[in-house]
Amino acid sequence: MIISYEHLEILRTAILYALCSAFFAFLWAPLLAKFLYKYKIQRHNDFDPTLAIGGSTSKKGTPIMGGLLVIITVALITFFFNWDRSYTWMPIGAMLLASVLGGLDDILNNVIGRKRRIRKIRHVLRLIRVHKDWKQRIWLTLTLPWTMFKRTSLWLGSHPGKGLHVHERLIMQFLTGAIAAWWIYFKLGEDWRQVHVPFDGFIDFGWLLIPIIILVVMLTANAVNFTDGMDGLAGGSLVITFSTLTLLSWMEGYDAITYLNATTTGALITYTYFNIKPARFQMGDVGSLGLGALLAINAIVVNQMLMLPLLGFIFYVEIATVIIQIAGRYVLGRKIFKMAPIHHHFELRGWSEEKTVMRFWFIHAAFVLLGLWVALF
Amino acid sequence: MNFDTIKAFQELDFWGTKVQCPYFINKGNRVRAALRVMCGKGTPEEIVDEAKTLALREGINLKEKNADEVKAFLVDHNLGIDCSGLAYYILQPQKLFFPHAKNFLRKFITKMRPIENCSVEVLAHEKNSKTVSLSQLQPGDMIIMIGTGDDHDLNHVLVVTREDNGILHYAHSLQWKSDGKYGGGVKAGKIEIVDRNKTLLEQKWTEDSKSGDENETFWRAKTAHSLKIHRLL
Repeated sequence: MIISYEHLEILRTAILYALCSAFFAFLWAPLLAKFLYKYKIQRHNDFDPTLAIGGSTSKKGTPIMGGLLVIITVALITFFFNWDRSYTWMPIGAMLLASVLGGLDDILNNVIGRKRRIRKIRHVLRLIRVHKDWKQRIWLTLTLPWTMFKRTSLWLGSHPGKGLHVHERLIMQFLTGAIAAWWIYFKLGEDWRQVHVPFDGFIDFGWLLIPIIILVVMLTANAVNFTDGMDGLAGGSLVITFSTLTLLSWMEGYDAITYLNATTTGALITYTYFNIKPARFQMGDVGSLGLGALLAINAIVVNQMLMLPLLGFIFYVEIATVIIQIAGRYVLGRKIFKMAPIHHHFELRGWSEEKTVMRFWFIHAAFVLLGLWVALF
Repeated sequence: MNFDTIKAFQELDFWGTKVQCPYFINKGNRVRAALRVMCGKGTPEEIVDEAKTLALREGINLKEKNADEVKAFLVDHNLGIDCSGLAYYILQPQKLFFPHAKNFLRKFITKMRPIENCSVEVLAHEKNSKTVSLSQLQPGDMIIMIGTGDDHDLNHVLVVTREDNGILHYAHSLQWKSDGKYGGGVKAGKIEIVDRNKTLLEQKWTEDSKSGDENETFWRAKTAHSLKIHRLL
């Protein structure tokens, strides 16, 4: 295969995007760090036991929301130099929406939030029977399904604290997925509905693609969110995934998406530089949810949705362990892992944070490589 | 049967510090669908792991605590084992019949979570165990008391661990009133067989160097509506 000059030029430009993005992020990273330290946007120890594993207190006081470095860099560079209605609008829009959700959660959890509680269903049923105000009784009856949804969604979350509650997160993530699905299905034409099946051409899911995209976006955003629990883990793994996506989108001929992936890779390189232990700042939900959504959408856009389990291997392993842990808790009444996500399991088994992170990086790299190989068929 | 588990419960290992597993019964707390370790049904390893996790969450360094302080931590966090839980881990029944599981969902839950659904009544059910006489008693048998105490509101089970020279040794998990809040737990005691032809209550019960009504285990046996020896089928 001979690569044409134009095609090679696109790769050169993409690499330039990555370098510029990394440089630009490097320029304003100190400003962000100063801002985060000044306003004490820090994770608090009182509801996060993972911060104290191994007796380490080094993470106490490290600011979160460092993911803004990537999100803002990518959004600005794409907006000024790579703004394409057909291609980059939607990924950036969905990424920003998911980031806003994550940012809101970060701020409520750590800065201005206060604890809110959700009434138990049994309590509401009792109020419906005994409340002295008949209007309240009707209101409580009418909103009972909503209360049940709120209450049952707590099964998926560990600590309903000061931040967004699980049902609020689910709704906002659903919205992000729905916007992406709507855009891909209705706005971008029939070619976009094709999903590449390795060794077997393409498959058209029809309208089923909509719920599938919503599910994949929600799952991936949360998966990256769970992975963001150790210094450098999410950042390093995302660098591997986004650089591979850059290559894939370049080979598939999606220029704007290639540039977007390259820009993200560049910004992530700078972010990970600052996030290496001891971290200057941590990603926070603002970065992990946004980048998770972006990862899912960019893979879907280049028709590689089926390759996501390999391209985002470590993220899906992390979320799978969380799901298994929750299932174990409710069904078997015991923990399958010492702690979920799985990186804390290994940490509790005595692995150092550095060992866990680096091993996870390279396991991830191996599976991403496998994903790249399979995707080429 | 696994009698080694008694030692594991009596000596929970916290970085070399041996801690007696406290008594905890979920009856009053009514925790549902939670980890079994939070319902007084966890294994020794689960109790230790959960305590370590809770300590991390609260920023408490358990390594610096002595055995009594660690035990107090366990009691304060509802970590411990109840009598039927201990009996279950010692006797390890292969299959139990749960009389309260009447519909499909209940049956499924009991299949998935047998130990949380295992109570003294379940162990004493005729489909799970048969009654034996004192003369036939052997290690692995259970001394089951139904409706003990002044209010007859607590069932209890002792597991016979061995017999030598007419002395029955048993293990159980219980909190005596005289133990205070932090004193109860997995204990061992003995019943000296004075006369095999007499009833269990007429033998000499000794635990923690106490006998007669001072021995609260004996007092519970005395106040029980029913006191029988059972052997798992």
